[in-house]
Amino acid sequence: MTEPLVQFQDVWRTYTRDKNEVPVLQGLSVEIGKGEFHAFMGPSGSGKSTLLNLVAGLDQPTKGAVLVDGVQLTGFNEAELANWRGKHVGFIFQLFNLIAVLTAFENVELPLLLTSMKRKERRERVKRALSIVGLEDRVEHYPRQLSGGQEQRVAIARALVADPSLLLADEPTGDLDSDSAKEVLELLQELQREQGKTILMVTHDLRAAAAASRVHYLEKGTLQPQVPASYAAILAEARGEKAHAQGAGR
Amino acid sequence: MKWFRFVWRNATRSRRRSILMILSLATTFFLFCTLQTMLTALDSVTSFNTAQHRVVVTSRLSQIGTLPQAYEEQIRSLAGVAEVCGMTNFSGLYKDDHPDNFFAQYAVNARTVFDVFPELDVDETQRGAFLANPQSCLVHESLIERFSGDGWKLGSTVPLIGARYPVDPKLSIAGVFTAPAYEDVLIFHWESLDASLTAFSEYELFFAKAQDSAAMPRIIDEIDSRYLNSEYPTASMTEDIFQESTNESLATQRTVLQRLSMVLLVVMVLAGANAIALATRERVREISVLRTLGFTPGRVRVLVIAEACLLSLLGGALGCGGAWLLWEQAGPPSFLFLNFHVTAGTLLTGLALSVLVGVASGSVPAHRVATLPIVSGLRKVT
Ligand SMILES: Nc1ncnc2c1ncn2[C@@H]1O[C@H](COP(=O)(O)OP(=O)(O)OP(=O)(O)O)[C@@H](O)[C@H]1O
Ligand SMILES: [Mg+2]
Repeated sequence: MTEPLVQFQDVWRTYTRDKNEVPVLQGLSVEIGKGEFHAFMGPSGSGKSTLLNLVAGLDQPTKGAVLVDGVQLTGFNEAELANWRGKHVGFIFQLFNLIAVLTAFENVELPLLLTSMKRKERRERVKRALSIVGLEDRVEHYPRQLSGGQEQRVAIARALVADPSLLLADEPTGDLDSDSAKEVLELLQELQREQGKTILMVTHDLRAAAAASRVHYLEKGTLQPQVPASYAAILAEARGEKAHAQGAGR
Repeated sequence: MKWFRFVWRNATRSRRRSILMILSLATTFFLFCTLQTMLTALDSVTSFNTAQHRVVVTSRLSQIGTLPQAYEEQIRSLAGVAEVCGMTNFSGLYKDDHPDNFFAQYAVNARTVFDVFPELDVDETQRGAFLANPQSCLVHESLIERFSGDGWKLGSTVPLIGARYPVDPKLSIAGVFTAPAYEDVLIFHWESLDASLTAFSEYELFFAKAQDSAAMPRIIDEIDSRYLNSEYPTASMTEDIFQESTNESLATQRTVLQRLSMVLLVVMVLAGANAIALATRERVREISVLRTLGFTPGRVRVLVIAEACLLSLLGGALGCGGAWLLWEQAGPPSFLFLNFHVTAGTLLTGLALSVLVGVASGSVPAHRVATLPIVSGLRKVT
């Protein structure tokens, strides 16, 4: 295994709801190596989003430690976390979450506004990011003028424009038709392969999970040693297709 | 500057709401500027020259009571008195009783008026012309401007209609003065008024100029005790106190105006805060997304407050500009106040306050949205 980028060390996350403690993550430990593409599956409410949020420092563990590139995020205050996120993490959401009043270009530019980058350099970076996702001809479009798949690709461009090492995607294909989903997944694979991004993706869709190099199954707050048998078969089949088409996966 | 476009887009995202907010702020700022203008107008009425150390002698019996002409000479003979000028408010009408045609007319002792009121800036030749012709008058330049349509200029004749006194003087304009404290004032010869009335020989008040201010308390004492038991007892006071006492009602008006202005400010902050709170509540999710991109709570706060400031500055500019246009360009309501001008100070105060209103109304929503846990913000469905 390569050097780990993300480490969960006996992580617990408990929410208090109506004075009851609701354990969500219960002693979860996992390592994700640099440049790897991992998928997380599991029933609804099993804590998948919680796990991603912990990696991004949007949420803090109740117990245990989350380390990213050897740094423990627990000691950071909100502003430090924000700055750290801006540099190291790109977030991709199920519902794209583009800013409706900004064009594709301006949406992608947002993370760069936080840097001291000059206007010209920002322009180039944004254009490059948009051309990576294949949308160089949609620069001046507003989100409402784009299809779902295009919106998600703009969101991916926004996630990678500041060149973070880590991409976190929470059901990135959950709201897309199968063709658009396929495009987005191929894009993520390409980013892993060609740019060495480390990708954590949460998904309900086995065909999406098959795009990852490893699939984890989360249930009752811990990682199961294996995905359910019924999943395994479908995964293998989906991978077979992929292996046939692209020679990727394992 | 790179943030301006972002703030602008957010501020104007719902056109109708932005326009409504701007217009409601503009209305309140318009009222605010108008109230402030009334206040400055009041101030200009009360800000008489107090450096002249003048004693004002009035009747003790009634506010508009009169005093015999003979007092003038007697007061002049007191030690420490440099010169005395008697004055009567003619209170006549010009053309009709329409408020637009109102201005003050004082019948004065022309021989001493320039000694007692050295701030009356009339040039030598005009002064000479005035003194030479008992049927002439001096007017403030504001009146020449106001009545230029009636052909008011040097040498033209102003027909006044007596209201308090049964005479209708026809006065030719001998000169023009510009002293700001005497805006909308006309002065003419008390002698000509006296000549046209039988058994008149009285003044409403006397202005006694003291040689120095230290002498004023003693002069006041001497005058009042001298006439205490006469038929026409006097009430004397320094000019500033006189101004204050005649302006007591103005002072109440001023307090009312000031309170109204404060209320308006509170209304603006509340209305602004409400609009901004609504606008940010709709965007909680979006702002949480920005925070996942690396926007710090401080940055979010500044952006929300900047948005509020932008809107309220637009409202402020519109309201203040509107007040300026209406009162300065379309013509001031001269019947309300003698000196109704929207000053640069008022406009600047209005604009500065509009920024403050933005900060005040943006702060609470900004704080709320900046400190909300990102995870809960992302869960909000809009
Ligand atoms: N802020 C919170 N307060 C209380 N409970 C929470 C909070 N966030 C998450 N939970 C609870 O934690 C559990 C896990 O939530 P999480 O969003 O991680 O699930 P998930 O695996 O992503 O589910 P899904 O597949 O439906 O997205 C759920 O039962 C949820 O109700
Ligand atoms: Mg989830």
